[in-house]
Amino acid sequence: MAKHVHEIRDPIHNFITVDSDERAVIDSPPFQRLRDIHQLALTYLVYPGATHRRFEHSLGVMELAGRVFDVLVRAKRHRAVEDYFPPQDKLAYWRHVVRMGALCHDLGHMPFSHAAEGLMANGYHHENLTVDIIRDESMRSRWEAFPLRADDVAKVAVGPAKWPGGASEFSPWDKLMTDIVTDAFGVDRVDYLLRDSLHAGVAYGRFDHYRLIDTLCVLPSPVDEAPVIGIEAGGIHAAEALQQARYFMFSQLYLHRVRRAYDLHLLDFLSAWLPGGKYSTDITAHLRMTDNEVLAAIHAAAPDSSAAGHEAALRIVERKHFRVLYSRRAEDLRMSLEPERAIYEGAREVFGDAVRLDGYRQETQSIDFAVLRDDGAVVSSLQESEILNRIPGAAAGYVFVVPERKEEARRWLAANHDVILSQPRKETEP
Amino acid sequence: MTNLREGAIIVSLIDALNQRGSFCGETHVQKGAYFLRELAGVPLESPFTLYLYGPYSFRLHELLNELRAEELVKLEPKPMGASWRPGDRYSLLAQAFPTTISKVRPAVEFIAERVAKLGVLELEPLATALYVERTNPGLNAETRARELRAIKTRLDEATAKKAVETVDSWHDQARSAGLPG
Repeated sequence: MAKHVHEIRDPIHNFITVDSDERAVIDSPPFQRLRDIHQLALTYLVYPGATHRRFEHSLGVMELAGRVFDVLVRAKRHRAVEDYFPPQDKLAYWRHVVRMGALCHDLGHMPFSHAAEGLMANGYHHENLTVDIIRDESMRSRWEAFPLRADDVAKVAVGPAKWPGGASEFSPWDKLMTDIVTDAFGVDRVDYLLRDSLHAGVAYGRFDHYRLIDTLCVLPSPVDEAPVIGIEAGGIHAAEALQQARYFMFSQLYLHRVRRAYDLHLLDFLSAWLPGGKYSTDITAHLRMTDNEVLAAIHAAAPDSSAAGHEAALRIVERKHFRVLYSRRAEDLRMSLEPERAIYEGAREVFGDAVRLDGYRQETQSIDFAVLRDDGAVVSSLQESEILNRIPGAAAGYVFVVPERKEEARRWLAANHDVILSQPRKETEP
Repeated sequence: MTNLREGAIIVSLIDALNQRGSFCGETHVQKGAYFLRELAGVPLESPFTLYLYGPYSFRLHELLNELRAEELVKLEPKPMGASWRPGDRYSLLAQAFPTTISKVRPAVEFIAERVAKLGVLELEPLATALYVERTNPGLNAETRARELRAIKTRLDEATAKKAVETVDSWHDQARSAGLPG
């Protein structure tokens, strides 16, 4: 029987098309739950339009994953990587695997995910739950309809770093498939930059993703000839634009000081409200927990001084969030390794728990990738680009203070800033 | 937050490799760190796992990016990839962790001396030979060479045997140098 093709409207990709088997996965309870998980947690309290959900983001990642797969298998293959491709009659299978892995990559996300990643029980991270859900009996009939092996889908969804069986279970082809979703040009990144940019109303996340995708190809790594996703030289500017977009979105949106303050309040609330301070890793409990339940609990706790997490809830609901006492400055970084930590430790002696330290350093930055030059040579992108190596990794460091003591703390900082930063840092035993 | 103590050890390794004229790509840092941990007994927290080309640490890969974001390391473009170098703020890191760096210096120098000038194709079988030994204690050299070839199927017998023998000799040298080995 011919499969139906269904179309879903999307503000980024115009139309997302799915067949009936894919639609059955979309209609599953674990995937439908993503309609109630915000993509950017409480960022909408800073950027009111940022109310989009992981549901439509995941659809977008699936759409792009299919497009990238088509480009990679259609492109003229470099002879050094030809042997890594499966036979032609297997490509349709792998196309479905990649699309479904991309679709399912966020299934394990808890409410207010990235803020609460450390709050999973049993040492879990959200990828563990993603694998559990994909493998669950309730999803089996959906995979059998294609048919697809659940573990092939799960490997694409979570990647080798978080794969429960260990990275050694990934073949070079498995790695290529998962790189479509998560690597330098991973479609997860492409979709969230475009989508977050649109909904937050910031221009920084936009770049020519059509051109970028069109120039993708599988190349032998210039380092060890392993098959990797690289680009033709003509796509280098689109690749530069992607990395710049990422840097600016981190600096302007994801690391926005008030957003980070709200993340701390969320963490405090969840730690107090969740049983044992942890999210359950049981699938049934996980599927029942969305942003709705957490937000309802926050609103119930805010006016009730006896409720667990009351103070944090109040700060969220009544916008009494932490204020910035200090945000790291370039001139301070020249004389202090972590100026925000030094300021925090000094402030803590005076203000105690009224101050909090927060920091972030970008842990993935893909500026070194393979480029196919017009003369057929495969070289590092850092050789071909004037810009990539100049794009720094995003980093932020804040000292927050409760609003009630902001003025007092700022006067203290003005009087003590130079003295604190001029003191040598003492090494402590680990 | 970033483990800057571990960062100090890694950047001191990068510094030592550079001083010996190493290409110091990520493979050198990854395998060098693995040798530091498993052969020279330096307590690094980044976990290693067996990946496509030998022992690899995803956490160490992230740490390198975090250190770059802090200008504690930098990347220098080369035709065949990029080399890691100490960054413009490395002196601040060294000043913050003098005891840590001093304690690991003998181990760092020992490992840097041995891996600095090796290429990627030499480093991978050596690191994997060490991995085989660490995960299969008590096996003799011949069996370890066989296990190594089971993991790295493109290795010929002679290369596998040499990798096992080299790692064994490094163990002996490490112990003679007073390292845990």
